[in-house]
Amino acid sequence: MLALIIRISLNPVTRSSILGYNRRMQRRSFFQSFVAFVGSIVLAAVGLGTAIVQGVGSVLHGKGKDENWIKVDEIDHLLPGQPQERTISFRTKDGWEEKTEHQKVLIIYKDGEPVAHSPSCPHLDCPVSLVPEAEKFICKCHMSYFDAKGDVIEGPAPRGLDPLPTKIEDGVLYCRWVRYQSGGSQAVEV
Amino acid sequence: MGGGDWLNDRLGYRDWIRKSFGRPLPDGASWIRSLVFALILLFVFEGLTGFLLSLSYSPSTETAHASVEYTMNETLIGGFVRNLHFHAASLILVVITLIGLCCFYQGAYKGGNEASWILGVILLNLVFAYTISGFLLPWDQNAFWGTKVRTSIMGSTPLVGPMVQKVVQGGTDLGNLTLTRFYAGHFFLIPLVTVGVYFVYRGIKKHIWKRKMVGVESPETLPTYWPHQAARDVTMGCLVLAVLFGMSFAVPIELGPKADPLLNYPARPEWFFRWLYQLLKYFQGSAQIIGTIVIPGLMGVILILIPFLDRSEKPGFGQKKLLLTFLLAIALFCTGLTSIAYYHDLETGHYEEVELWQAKADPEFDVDTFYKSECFECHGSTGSGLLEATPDFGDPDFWSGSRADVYLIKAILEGIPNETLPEDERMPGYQDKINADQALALIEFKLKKFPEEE
Repeated sequence: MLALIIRISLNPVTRSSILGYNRRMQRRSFFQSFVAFVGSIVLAAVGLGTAIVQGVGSVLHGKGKDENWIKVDEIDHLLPGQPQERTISFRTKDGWEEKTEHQKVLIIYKDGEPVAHSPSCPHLDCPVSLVPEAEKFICKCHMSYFDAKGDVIEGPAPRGLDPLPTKIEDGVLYCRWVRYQSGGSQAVEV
Repeated sequence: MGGGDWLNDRLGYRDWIRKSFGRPLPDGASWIRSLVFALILLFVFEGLTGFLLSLSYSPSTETAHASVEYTMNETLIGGFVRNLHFHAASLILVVITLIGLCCFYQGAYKGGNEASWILGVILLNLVFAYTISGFLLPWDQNAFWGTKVRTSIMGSTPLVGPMVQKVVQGGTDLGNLTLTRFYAGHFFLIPLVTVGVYFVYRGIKKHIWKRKMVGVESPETLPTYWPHQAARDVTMGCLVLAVLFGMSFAVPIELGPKADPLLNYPARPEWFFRWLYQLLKYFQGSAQIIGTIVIPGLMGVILILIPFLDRSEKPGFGQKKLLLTFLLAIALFCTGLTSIAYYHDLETGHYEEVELWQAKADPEFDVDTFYKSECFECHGSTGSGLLEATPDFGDPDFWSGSRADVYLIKAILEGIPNETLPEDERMPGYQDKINADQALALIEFKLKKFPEEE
């Protein structure tokens, strides 16, 4: 289609013998407008397309989720009945950089069942930390409080602390590092 | 023929100079117009200082903080240039607000001039984009945690939110790609749009000028840009720059500790976002979106619609009392929220905590003597602790993980009121004897130096 238009518009002489001068000029200017119009759209699409594929697509394309189990602590080292914090370390890739990432996880160990929670506040991703004396968790950005089970006591958080998958093997607690979309009453992985 | 004529023949610059500097002003010279000049000057100044800062800035999680620290401490006037760059942004907001108020008072958007007002609102949003992207670049704790909140706010937009957040962050979390993206946006994309807005503004201004000149019978009697408006412009420019330099001398901008996802920092936004920050606290659960998207979005819409809401026929506030009351109520609402935010931080000891974060180890402080006289009795000569509850400073586990210096400084200054221990075995507070800098010196130069026991 485009090739046809270009061929016709490039060969006005063949038309001019058939058409009168004015008719020819009208048709010619129509073709020229058409070519200029379609051409601008093509140019814009090429530019925008490049920008969107590289700038947006390469981020959304993304890599698969991290499925590795990360060691949290030995079960014997956990304090029964108390909310507590542990640091986990795992290899990760941040852009071009391979590095060891450290994150905090919130552990609640009740009735022999350890539960790990993400330290990211479900309100707006601020850091949640332990208030040791009060046995509760607090997010100091917008003042959300969570009880020892991770449920919201007070503040703007729309849901309780998000759970991380855990398993126990040979007396060692493992978890997976998962990020959740903040906001909303349901935890959705990102 | 002189060299000037030769050049003018080829470039035609004399005509250009005559046209731009000698152009008649149909409304006469005005101080309000000189505010627009001051605004453009501030933007140029931001470009200049931003370029200077970029000469020693490196956007990556490993280098960003160190390069800003280098700029501040080891280049000749880097810290001052950073102050200028930071304060000019605040001044830009002040000047935009002043221009907006003047236009509102005069009804300057009346008679087919709405477009300039809307461009102004677009510019205001660009300034917010500048501040949000620039805020992250030093990669200190406040920048890191504050930006986490901001990208999460973007993520709370219905439908497209999570995708937008991912694209802005360059991934699922803040990191190297967030820094490169924010830097490219701050340094290239947003300035490009700003220049575009400027050219559209110039086009509109010229169009309106032509329209006004049509009705003028004798243009030669009108005052010209040079020297009437030029004198006002330059005076206002000097005034604004004087304020900017004064602010930059008086209020240095600190660089906080380097971003660390393990250490919870009580992040706070800049003063002009404080009301929004406070607003977020009130909307709980699924109502969250009202604070993050709905209210700020509505305010933007109202701002854009002002030229169409204002039905007055004369300049002044007389004919738009209702609109004025409404806008004043919004302003009062924002001011109130801002005050509550600051007051709440005062009440809850936020500033004391931030001060601890800013502590710099005092090299003059004799840590050995202090340790011997105050700590030795319980913590012992090897730092391993003599009581049951005292920690072992030689144990690497004690220093790993979420144990931030700031918490230790707090423990040294305020003590640890552990109720389960007998009173004489609790860690007492030493804030009467040492300050935060000295406590940090004690941690850095003494406690961290104890060797691991075999």
